[in-house]
Amino acid sequence: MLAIPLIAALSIASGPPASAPPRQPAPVAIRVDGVVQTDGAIGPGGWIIVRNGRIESIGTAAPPPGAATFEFVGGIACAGMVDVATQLGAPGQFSEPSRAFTPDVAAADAFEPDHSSFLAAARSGVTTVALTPGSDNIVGGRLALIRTRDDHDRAAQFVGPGPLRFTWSDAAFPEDRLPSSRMGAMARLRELLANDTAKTAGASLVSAQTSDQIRTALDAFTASNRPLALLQPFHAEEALALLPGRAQGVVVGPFNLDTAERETRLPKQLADLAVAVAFTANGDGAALRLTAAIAVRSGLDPKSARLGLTSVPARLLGIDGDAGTLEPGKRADLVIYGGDPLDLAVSIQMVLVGGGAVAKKETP
Amino acid sequence: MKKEARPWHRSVPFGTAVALASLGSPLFAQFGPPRPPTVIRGGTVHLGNGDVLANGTVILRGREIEAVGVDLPVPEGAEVIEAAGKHVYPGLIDVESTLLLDADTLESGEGSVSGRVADALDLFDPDPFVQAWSGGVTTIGVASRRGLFDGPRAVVTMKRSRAGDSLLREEGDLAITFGRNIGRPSMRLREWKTFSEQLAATQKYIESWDEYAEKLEEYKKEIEKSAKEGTKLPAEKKEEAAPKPEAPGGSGPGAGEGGGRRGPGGEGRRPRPGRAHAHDTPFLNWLRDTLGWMCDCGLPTHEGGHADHDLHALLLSDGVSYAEEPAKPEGGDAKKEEPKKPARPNREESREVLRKVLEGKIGVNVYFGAAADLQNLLDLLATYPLKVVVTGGGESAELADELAARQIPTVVVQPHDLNSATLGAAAKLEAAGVDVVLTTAGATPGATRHLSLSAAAAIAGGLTPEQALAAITSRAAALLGVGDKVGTLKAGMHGDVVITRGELFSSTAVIERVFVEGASVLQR
Repeated sequence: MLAIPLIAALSIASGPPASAPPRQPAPVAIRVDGVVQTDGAIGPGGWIIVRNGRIESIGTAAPPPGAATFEFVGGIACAGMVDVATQLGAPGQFSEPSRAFTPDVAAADAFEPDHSSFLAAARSGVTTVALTPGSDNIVGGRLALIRTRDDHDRAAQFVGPGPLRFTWSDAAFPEDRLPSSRMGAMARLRELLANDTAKTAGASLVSAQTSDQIRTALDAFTASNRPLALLQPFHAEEALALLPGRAQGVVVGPFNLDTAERETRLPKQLADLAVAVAFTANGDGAALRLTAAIAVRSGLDPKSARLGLTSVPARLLGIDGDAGTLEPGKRADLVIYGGDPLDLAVSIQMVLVGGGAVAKKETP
Repeated sequence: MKKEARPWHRSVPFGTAVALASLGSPLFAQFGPPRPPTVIRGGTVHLGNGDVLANGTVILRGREIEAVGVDLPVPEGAEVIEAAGKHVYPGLIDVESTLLLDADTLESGEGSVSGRVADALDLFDPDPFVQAWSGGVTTIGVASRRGLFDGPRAVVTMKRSRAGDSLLREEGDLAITFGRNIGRPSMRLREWKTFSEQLAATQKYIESWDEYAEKLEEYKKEIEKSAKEGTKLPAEKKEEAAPKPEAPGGSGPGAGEGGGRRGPGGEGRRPRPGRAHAHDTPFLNWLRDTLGWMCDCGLPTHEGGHADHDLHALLLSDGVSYAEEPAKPEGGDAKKEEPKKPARPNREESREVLRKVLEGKIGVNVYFGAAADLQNLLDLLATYPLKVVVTGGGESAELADELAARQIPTVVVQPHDLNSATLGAAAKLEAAGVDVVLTTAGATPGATRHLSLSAAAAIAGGLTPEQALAAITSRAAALLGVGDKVGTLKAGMHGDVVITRGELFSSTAVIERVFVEGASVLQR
């Protein structure tokens, strides 16, 4: 009856203890009544077959012999949530304010694979997070891409260096550190972008709040042909029109009941401009869903909201080939909800990360 | 039903109707032009009390709900809204909202118990109304929680009205707040000390007034007694008595008998100092008669509380002591026999409010930050049987059985991040038998527009959808003391109705129509 998905021993399926659900040697078959499709709409359900950690088929095949089967009446399957800006596991370890430009910093260095917050994230339906350097530096270093659970029951970094994190808002321009002006910063930034040869997938994550900050950030990144995603651009109504075609997306959140309507309306305004929106809430699945729900209540269409939890952030991180949507061949990062993932009255029934179940609600 | 009376606007020629309308314009300006009835037909009607009518009809006429049912005939001339496939709900109620409240206008710190929230409302700013309607909210309880004690909350219908009739209740529960640190040091020990001291002091205050009333009664009797005996007194001492004040002899008795007319001898004829004589009992009688009819309450137990009460009491006591005073130097011996007027205690507004609380005339809504505060409160109820409502987070679930046993209405504040750890509390309380009410109680006024979302989270925590609905409609109305007006779709209730596409608790639901007192305020 609790909203918290209870970690389950999965004993119904194969019998191993909860603490170490190993890769299922047998395929897993999950029956649901709906599936969130790649366009964000809820389509018809059926059996989802998972084998070797990957999705084998959706709604087209019967459970293979020997498969562990689960059926969820009214259940809707959706890709696991992806959060592009978290500091899970080591709050405070992602700030290095000594220098303005720290492109050599890697969030991966502060990564603690055994930290309990990754399991909590997984249970709440978040299957991939990026660890993100803080907002103290104009160039803050590289994101680390983490799957919240791996075969060995811990979190794991799964690709090389992630995208760079930039901060273009006032936080990165303290008085006692150089450069103290955006002009000086721009000069250094152009130099750095020209010399940065590390090829990373995904978009640079740029904090820019005011219209002015956004304009200069867009200029610098377009000039060097780099994709960027804007983080929390809440004071920039005039600059929003500059974003289509130039920003890969915009990352906002978390929203709560107290968030000003001016902010909660932003996702709808962006969607109207055909700018993709991704939600962030420090890896907390419930907070991510609340953020999406409030965005919907503030006018965002439900399809964009579902994509904002899954495929948009996956694309911004450059991992959309492997995560973010439910498609045959992709990693089996999936969450079974009791209904529409956007509905807060609905709770999570089951979470699989890479095909391994990390959470399953007790069946009554 | 065959012979339906033709509505007046059909039988009266158009020109006449226009003439009537313009003639009656002052009336219409206040209540708005008369509307044809509105019929909401074919929707899934959620009454708010747990019942649901499939394919139901709701008829609004004037400011009220005329009928709710299945297969109701459509009144002639009605505007029909087809609600097939849609859901119809009573207007939602957030029992604790800060919409309409400019927090800066409220006193901070302790002891603002006599400040009524109703006096701090801003009913002119349109934005809060739009916010409320966008969330389907039509009634709010407005409470201020700035200190340990805050004044009585207001209950407001979210209609923009120049008539000033949007207050459903001006003096609701008193807000008491424990363990919420807003602009003041908050410490459990100190708060509870202050709280129980205040109650004890109020108890003393009540006793001092009771004592005064008793003594005053005795005093009055003695005055009357001495007045009878005293008829001889002035005669005996006539030779040394100062000239009688003229007023009493003249208009006094007439005014006394006349009642209801302010006697000409009222204030202007007051005898000048030096001329009055204390033992002039006819003067005293006149004084009491004259002022007595103006305000025959004379006692602190007076309930109407009309504005002149204090003034009259003051005049009376002033006049009496004035009459007594000059006697001191003159008739020392006789004075000892004179009854002494009891000293009137000071009337204190904050004590008067707390007095109503102790006497059970108004309830208290106690917010607690921790289960320990709630336990303290329950203990305190043994000494002071207050009419209490508790408001708090998930902690109340820890005392669910006790709250149920004492039938204490319980408001569960949905945390602003809808953090799942507390969402099971409402269901737990419900299971124990407590009728739960849900509120956003947002730190910001805008939270009220998310009332249905916050209730949805409680459904994930185990409430049924109809329980959750009752928690923000019928039960909420009962808790605010306005359950006879709002909160349920029922004939005779205010025409506060919400129509949604999709179920209310779904995030993807769209609130399409909102009616407040029968008037459409939102349409999309």
